[in-house]
Amino acid sequence: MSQSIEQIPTNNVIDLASHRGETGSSQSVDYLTSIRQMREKDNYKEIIDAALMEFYINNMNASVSKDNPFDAVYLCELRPDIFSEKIVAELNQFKNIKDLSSEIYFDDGMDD
Amino acid sequence: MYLPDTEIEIDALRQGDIVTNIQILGAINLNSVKYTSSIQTPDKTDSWTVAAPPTIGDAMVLSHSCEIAKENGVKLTSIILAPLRDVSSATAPEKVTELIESNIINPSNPSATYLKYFYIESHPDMQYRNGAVVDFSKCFSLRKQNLDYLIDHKKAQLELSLVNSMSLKFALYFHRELGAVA
Repeated sequence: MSQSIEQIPTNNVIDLASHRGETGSSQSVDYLTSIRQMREKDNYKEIIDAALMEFYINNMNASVSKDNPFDAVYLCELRPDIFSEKIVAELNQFKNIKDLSSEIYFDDGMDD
Repeated sequence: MYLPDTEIEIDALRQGDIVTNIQILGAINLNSVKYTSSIQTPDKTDSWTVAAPPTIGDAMVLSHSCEIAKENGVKLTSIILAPLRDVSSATAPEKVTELIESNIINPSNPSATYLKYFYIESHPDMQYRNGAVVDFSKCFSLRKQNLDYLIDHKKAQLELSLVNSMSLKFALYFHRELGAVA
């Protein structure tokens, strides 16, 4: 059920510049230099893992909060379904069918 | 009843598919739901929980295949399912026989059937030695973000003729004349 890290959209860039070393210049320090500086740190792997997890969590939460199945936007996108009279006739030929459902009970913890 | 393993669409979810070991959410008792609200928003409910262990079971996909097809962009926001119930738990075995015999509605002799239930045969990869029934009265929906999760839990796929029989029965379960009360 959970979204694996491998499924995170690759068009979103994780900003590693926020983890730039203190010795890095404020002027046009390229990412290769940033990565080299980070690799010199003992906690390089932890910095990368933290950045990835933060991005993953924020991305996952954003998708849940922004995707509301009861949102009015979805109602506006509805279009009437097209169906044939044949389907209606097929259903109507059974309109007087007898339902025996109440005559059987299952002892499995679910209510009948 | 089931498609052979070589014909199952393993990367797609179709109407009639059996998914196993998922949380069953149908028929929630509102009396068991506990609502919580933060102090900052006393008039607004922030979350809700059900103080009970989750019910893990098997279910059948009821959504129309076109609506949940990845190639169609999964048009619906939700996927509708209904739980399976073991026929071995039926209190009257003779009724199970009658249920099985009337499972497929016969257009030439539409007399009586168990509209709430659609019978499925036993399957080697499922626990139901004598088969199971899909209980239409407890259908529930999951958000479409769970589509891949459901595909991962897909265990069997019905033959198309059985899918049509099931969906007809499902429609008739809701579509009956008001005067025909069983």
